[in-house]
Amino acid sequence: MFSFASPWFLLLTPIALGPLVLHLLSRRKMRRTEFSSLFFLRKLRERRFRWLKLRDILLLILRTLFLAFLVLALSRPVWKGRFPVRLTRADLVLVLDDSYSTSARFAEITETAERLSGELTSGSGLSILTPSGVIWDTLLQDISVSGWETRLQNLQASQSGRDLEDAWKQALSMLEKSKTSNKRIAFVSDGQARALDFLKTAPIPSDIEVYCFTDRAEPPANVSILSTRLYPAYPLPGEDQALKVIVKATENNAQANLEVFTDSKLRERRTVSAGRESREFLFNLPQDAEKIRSEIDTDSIPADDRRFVHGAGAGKLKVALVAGQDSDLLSLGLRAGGGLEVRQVSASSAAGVSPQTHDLIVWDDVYRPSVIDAVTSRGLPVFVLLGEDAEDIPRVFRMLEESPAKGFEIMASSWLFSDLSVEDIREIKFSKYLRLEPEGGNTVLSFSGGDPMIIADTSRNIYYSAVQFTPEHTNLVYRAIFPVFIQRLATFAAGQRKGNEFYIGDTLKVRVPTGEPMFVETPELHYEITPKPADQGFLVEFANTQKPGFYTIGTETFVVNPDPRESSPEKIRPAELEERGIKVFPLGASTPVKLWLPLLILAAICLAAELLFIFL
Amino acid sequence: MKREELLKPETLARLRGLDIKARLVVEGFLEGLHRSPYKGFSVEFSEYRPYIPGDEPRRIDWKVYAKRDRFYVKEYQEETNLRAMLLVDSSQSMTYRSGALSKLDYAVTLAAALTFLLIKQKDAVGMATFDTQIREYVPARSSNKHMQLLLSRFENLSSGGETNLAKSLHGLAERTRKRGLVIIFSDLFDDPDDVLLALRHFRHRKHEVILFHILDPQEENFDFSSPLRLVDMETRKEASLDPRLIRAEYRKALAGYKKRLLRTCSEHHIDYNPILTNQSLEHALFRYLEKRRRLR
Repeated sequence: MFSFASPWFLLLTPIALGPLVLHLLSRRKMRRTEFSSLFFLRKLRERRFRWLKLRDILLLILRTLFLAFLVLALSRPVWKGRFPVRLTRADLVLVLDDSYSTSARFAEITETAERLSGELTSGSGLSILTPSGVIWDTLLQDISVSGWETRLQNLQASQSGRDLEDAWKQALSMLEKSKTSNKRIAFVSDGQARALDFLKTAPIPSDIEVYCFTDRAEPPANVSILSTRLYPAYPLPGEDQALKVIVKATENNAQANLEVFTDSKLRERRTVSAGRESREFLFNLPQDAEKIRSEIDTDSIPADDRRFVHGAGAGKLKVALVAGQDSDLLSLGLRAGGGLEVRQVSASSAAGVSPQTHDLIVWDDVYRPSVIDAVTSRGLPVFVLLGEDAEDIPRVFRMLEESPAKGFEIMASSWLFSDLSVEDIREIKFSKYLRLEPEGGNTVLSFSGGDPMIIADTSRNIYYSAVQFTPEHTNLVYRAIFPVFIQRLATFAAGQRKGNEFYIGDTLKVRVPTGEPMFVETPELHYEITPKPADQGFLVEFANTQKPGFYTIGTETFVVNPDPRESSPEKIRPAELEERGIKVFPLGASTPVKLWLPLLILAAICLAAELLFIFL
Repeated sequence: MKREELLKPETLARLRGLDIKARLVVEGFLEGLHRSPYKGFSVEFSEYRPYIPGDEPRRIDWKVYAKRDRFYVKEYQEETNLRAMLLVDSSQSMTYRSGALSKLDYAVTLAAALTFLLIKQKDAVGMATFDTQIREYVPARSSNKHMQLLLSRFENLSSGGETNLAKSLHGLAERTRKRGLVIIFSDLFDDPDDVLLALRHFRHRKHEVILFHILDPQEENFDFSSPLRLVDMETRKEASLDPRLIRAEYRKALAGYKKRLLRTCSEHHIDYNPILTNQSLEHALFRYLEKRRRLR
């Protein structure tokens, strides 16, 4: 099966017919001239004309082939032949990445796995592993044992965030029992760096061949609203006003649905094409419109992006989000899952929010110290989004009319961002790697490698964020990070310390003094579980943490979230794996043969032959 | 008009009336220096020469012997015993032209000039035209009235169809019984073996033969520039070709053909004269006179 890396060059294919068309046209336009006699030409025809005619045809063919090969070479065809692991009888352990990041690509992962397994030679052995467990194990039997196809087809991506190292170790131990000389391990993954990073250093036994099928797709384009303004700013009486929305994207020709709301009602939805250069779009407004808001319709975000949206869990932590209808964070906050329940609260009613109704209040509105003081006085933690870059923290303090010496603490910037590339970090404009030397500041919550981004007034239970979430990032990073950001802060502010935070797929453990059965409460079901004897007392282990939310074992509560690192777009570089002798192929492809070079050589041969004919 | 100008094909093409052309050409070319190549008994004395053993004793002039006591033989110049036949190829291919004159025009002008020249010398001149067969045949005479007839025939000559040179020449060789000078004007587009056999036929009949191989410069050089479809003027057959690709081969084939003709003609004492229609007629007339000198 052929595929083309640059298929648009195939549009040039008709050029290959150029020589033929020119040939036919020249024949049609050939001048008809009377000549005394073809006596000598007839004699020539006998000896040379046949050769000349043949030469003409050969030249025509060579020129056509030259252009055809050139166009084909430019379109960079790839022959997706059969898989390299099928060539000989071998024992193969397939390691499938079913982590949360693969959810958008999981069909391709299972399809690739199915093809790999299906093409194994008779007599081969097969095992299929995922980080969640063994799917199929007939490594020491023959591949003819059926059933693995159904297992693969029923397999689904988990919400866990495990890497593949444990599965790799398990695969190695399985192959130790194999008696064949051809032992192979094939990883099928979306290529997320965190899942495969261990392969850069893991010892690889010399008798095992390792293959890696990864997704090399780039992250989708990020369409964002740069700014909006009314036009004209000061309309004359009776004059219509329009909203001018300036849109930009990280890639050219990125499409998204742009929506304009007036007075909380959808006024117009328009599919726009954005590019690296900002573009303006005008939306006519009704004369009586008061509240105007524009946003990128989140449903128009490409499917690839959906893996960054965390699934909504049962709301346990209640977060009040003080934001106007035009708040960019509002829609994201409302979508925040992972055990959060976000409700919109207006600034005027924010003073009424109490610890009985909410666990945290997030302030994304005009800063009103009196209201915030009223809330905090009732013991409710407040998270204030300052909407400023934290480049100048002292200025932030001045704005707050507070002194950093008075009980303010600097919270380290978020580890949530540690997985992002430097470019992405710059994109979200936090702090510019601020090197602040706070006086007496204590790190109360580690968010990242040490750069301060959250200022905590621990005496008053107020957390200030100087991170500026700009509308430029409404799709990818923004969507990915903000819910997790809120979730984590809410968990912290509500007193759920880091030690009790787990990720989906983790095993929750509680030590108890007695072996009496205990209740385990999960977001979906209740279990009764009997503790096992341990060194000091008894131990309760609960591994079925497949859904995000709160898990309670006895009196202890755990927060189980999707691993936010699964939102990292960073892919492993094939070269790094190839340096270790691992054969890397694109996901879904098998033994891809790049044909551009042979085609280019063929084109060169045609050209050389043509020149030879011409000069002969 | 200068003499050289009169002999140029461009000048001749502008003139009307073949008789005028012929006269102008001849008068411009020579001034009556013309002798019969055949010596023998005649009324006009030519010279004495010493007796050589083998000479007929009756030719000894006894009066000179009486005076000088040596044998001298008396020689006479024959006056009008040259019979010339002008054979013009009138096939369709002869009408081809890339310049001022077609090959047929050139051949006719040259033949007319020679007619004029020969009649002026009181030689007998006849003519014949042919293509696939003999179209016209006028026996040799030497009167001025006959010259007018010949010029008139040349002037009204129409081109025919295809060439069957060998067949026609064989026919003419059979028909021209009295030995004499045969001058052939043709582009010789025929099988060389057949042509040479026919020429030998004339030699067999003890004719002296001058062959004017008339070609157009375009036929010689074949310097068409772009691909074209050539139509054979005789057969109407067509050939699509790129002349640039076969030019060298064509020239080689033509040169080989001419070389072969020259060699074979030389072997059989035939005077072979390749001539292009853009060349002055003077060249052809000189060739004729040279031949006449050799015949003396």
